Amino acid sequence: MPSFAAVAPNGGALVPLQQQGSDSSDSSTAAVLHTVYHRVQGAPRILVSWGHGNCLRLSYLQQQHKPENEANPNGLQPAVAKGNGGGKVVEIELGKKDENQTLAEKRRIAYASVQAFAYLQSQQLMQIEAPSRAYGTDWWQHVLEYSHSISSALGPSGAPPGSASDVSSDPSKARLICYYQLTTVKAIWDFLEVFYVDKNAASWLPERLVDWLASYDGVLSSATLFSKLANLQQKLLNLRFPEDDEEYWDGIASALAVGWLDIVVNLLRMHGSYQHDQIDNRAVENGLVETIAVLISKMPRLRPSLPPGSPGQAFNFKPEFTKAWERWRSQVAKLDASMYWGECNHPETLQGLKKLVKILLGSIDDLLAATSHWIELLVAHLLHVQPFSKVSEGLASYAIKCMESRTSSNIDESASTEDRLQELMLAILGDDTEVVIAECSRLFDPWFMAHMIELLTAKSKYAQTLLREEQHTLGGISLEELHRLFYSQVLSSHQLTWQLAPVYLSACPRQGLGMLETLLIKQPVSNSDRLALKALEVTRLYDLKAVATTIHRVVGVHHWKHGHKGAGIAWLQQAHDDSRLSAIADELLASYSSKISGCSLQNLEGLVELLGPELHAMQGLSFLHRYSEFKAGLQATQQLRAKNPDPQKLADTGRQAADSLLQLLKPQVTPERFWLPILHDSVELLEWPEQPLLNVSETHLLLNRLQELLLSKVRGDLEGINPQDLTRLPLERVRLALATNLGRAMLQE
Amino acid sequence: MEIWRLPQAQYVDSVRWLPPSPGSPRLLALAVWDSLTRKPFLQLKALEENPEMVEQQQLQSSSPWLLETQNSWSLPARSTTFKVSPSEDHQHTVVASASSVGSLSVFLLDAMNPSADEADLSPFTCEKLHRGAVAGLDIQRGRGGAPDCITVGIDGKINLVKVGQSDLQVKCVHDNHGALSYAAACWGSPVEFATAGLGSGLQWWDLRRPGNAVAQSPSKGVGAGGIHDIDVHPSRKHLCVAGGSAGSVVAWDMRRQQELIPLAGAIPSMGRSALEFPIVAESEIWEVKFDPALYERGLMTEVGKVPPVFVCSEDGILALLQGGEAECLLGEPCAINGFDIDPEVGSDIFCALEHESILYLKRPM
Repeated sequence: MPSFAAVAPNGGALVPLQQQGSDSSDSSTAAVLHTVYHRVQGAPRILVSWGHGNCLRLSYLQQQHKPENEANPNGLQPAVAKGNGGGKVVEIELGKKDENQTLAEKRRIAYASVQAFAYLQSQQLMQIEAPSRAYGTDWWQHVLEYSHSISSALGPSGAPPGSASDVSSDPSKARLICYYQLTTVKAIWDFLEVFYVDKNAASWLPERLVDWLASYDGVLSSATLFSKLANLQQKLLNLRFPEDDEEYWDGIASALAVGWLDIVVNLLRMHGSYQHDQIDNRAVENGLVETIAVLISKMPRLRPSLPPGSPGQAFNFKPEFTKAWERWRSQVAKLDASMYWGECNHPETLQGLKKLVKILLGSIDDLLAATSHWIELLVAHLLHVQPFSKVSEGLASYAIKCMESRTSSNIDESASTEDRLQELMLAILGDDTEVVIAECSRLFDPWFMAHMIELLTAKSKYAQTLLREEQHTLGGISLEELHRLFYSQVLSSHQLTWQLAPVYLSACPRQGLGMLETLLIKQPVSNSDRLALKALEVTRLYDLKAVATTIHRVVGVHHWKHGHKGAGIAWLQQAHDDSRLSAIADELLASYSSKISGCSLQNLEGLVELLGPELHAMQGLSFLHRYSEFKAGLQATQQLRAKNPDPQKLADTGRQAADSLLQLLKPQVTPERFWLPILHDSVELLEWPEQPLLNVSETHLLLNRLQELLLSKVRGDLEGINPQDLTRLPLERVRLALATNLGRAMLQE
Repeated sequence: MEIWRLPQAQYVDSVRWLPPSPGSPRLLALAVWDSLTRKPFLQLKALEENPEMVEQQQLQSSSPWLLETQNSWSLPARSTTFKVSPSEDHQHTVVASASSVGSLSVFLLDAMNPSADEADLSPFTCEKLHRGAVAGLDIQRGRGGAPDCITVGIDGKINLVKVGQSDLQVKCVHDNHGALSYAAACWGSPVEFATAGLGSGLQWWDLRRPGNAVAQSPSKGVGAGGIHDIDVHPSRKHLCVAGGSAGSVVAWDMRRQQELIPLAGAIPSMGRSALEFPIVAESEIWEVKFDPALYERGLMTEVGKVPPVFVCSEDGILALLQGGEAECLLGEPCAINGFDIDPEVGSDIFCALEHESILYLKRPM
């Protein structure tokens, strides 16, 4: 049995590998990202994981050689020293680079389309919840709005070269390049909109096709009227008498056939007989040209309106249109039979104008000659041969006829993607939804698929069942959900787009929520707080409390492990992770209690501020709160005293401070190591000038604490207390103050 | 008000206006990051009118403005915070970028010709200034002429970095060993600055009184995620404004240190009715800045009121808070990660978005 690589084309590669540079043709030259030292036993291993985007991350762990000195447990890994047992991590960029569209451009479109999608989803929800309120606007009108905003995100609409908006400026190259960048994506999007969404379009479908063709003729194929006219436009710049050139007349005929009337009129007015020195000799000729131009600019069109300044007359009401068209047609016929043709001395003009008249009269042969692409022929047919026919049904068979008459004439000119495009357009014309979906998924990216489904389901009941039915073969999800999931996977894989994925995932009823949770949990939130906050914002929007808790915990533990105590505690508090918090509280207390540092209490004060009142529950650190209360009380008395207020108020604040002091020194509240600074702070209260603040029993409590401290000092097990503190804050000073207070208290009692 | 989108080739971490210099176009400094190569750059871009615009009015997407890259230098690490300031003698423009790995890079550009071709210009870089990311940075002309940078980090350190002629001199002002994390810093005067961070509220520091903060605001009033950015009013130094989690924007008046004046937010714990101040955004407020237009034009706000403040948020809002009301200037589908207002008139605002694009907003003055 031959191996896969031998039979598969392209060397077995399912996805093309992106080449790093011109000289590094083989993938083994991919730059080594990390070198890993490991102690994994056994055979060499390859670990494969996805990096961001299209990056595939390959880790290769080389075989572990037996270390020579196994008895040395704490030495640096001997294998490392020898250069063995290392591993390499490389990244390989997969996929083909799209030459036409940069990734940044794709992301721009992704961000530009997300709002429209989200809005449409919310509209849908509203309609399900309160169908009565949505009365008045049909669903397809919402989709039409959505379609317009997506279409405008894809880029500006184009117009054929030489049209009214273009003729005023000189045809710069930039203009043409801009036009070519209009993608087939936008062309197909608008095509879908015409047939699947816009119900109003049905009444003036031929004219919609004329407009569509005017915008997108250039992207259909390399040899269309668009390129013909573009060439002509270049040529005309240097011609004084364009009417001598056959191309000029061909161009006019083509533009007329597909209904780009403004171009026709503009080109006709370039006719040499209009020039001042010519008009005397060529009066009849000029008269004929002008007559044709006027007739064309009066052509009745069955459409609600025409863009301002463009030739033609718009009729919305069909009977009116029929009347006007009959009248206009008879004028054309009259012109055809006119006597003046005989007086025209310029043979090219005579021939050219006759051709135009034939086109206006709907001569099939001339229409065939004037158009090149089958859809151009179709449009010409609809415009000049069957202007009244109700076309919506027989359109596909018409199209096939047009296509057949085209392919017979130039059979060799068609690339494979163009073929696909033809197939797709035929399927859209024929309302063949399955083929539309299949061809779209072959031609376009997941972005298109995820957004296009809204168009298909706008009004077609059949498409709705097809796309929304949950299918057993897809694991119980619908086609619609499948394409949304697919697109959100693409979005999730890149760090600049993952925030868009929730919008699409939330529109997936079956698997969306699960994937959203996975997406959020897999974000490398510990790398940056900003990313964590962004992920938390998503959890807030979609009410994912459990995920938010997980993220808070992950970030909290990360901060705690990296010594950012305050941040760690704050994040863990958000996670309501009491068990970790109390463990942290114990650890924190232990570390502060054992550290030989004079200012550690001040550092703790900041933490207390941060921890807030919730920490009262935590036994280990509750003393911190009381300590900060005590400090605040002391400060308040000092401030009051400086202001010299009434003695009663002063005594009250003093008493409050004393209360917090007593709370602090209750058994098993404050670690012994902090007693000394606290007692020292209390001297101020003990030596209260106005009256004794502490009564006899309270003073006894303080004395007891002092005694315990002294005993510890004598025993020499003053663990954690800085000896410098002892000299700086002498115990005798405290003892004296206590004794004085005791005396005063006794006297008072 | 006019808004243009200017697509960029790289992700824009931060965007700042350069001080105006006569004879050269209006310049912007951008800290960008290439998501494909994962390399960060400092770019100087000139804001120019699009010459093709006149004949291409029918193309809606093309903007009348172009950002022409004038110069580009690679940065040692991806920027987390990025500031620009003129030096005291106006000879140089100081561009400083602090990174996610705790380093600081300072570029000294020629103020008269910032875009002069100095491809070999390498920044003064100070590695390992902080453990972890540098969260806040501010530059000012310091004492003695040399610019001073203040950097704060999540590790609880506050560093003063003097930009010398040939190197950076670092002095640690304060280090609480991670007990509190700082997220933002802003100079108030040559010797005073404000800091803010996670749970610490706002703090006011004076270099003449080393040790601890000289003033401390209450820590309640901002969301649980802490404060992300602060600004000190350029002429009323006693006034700070801070933006943080849950859309909270608060002002802190040094003359009344015990209270924070809420300007916007959606915090239920505040115990006030929501009607008293507007809810601009419900998400993180990433940057705050006093409206420079007002004091540039010499106008004064009413006594006792907080001057207008610009804020931008994670849920895509750019708003101007003024007199208890919020004027929403932008509502984007993605986050606005930062913005800068032009230093001359205060009418032109650039916003950095969540993808490779920046927004140019011109408000009527």
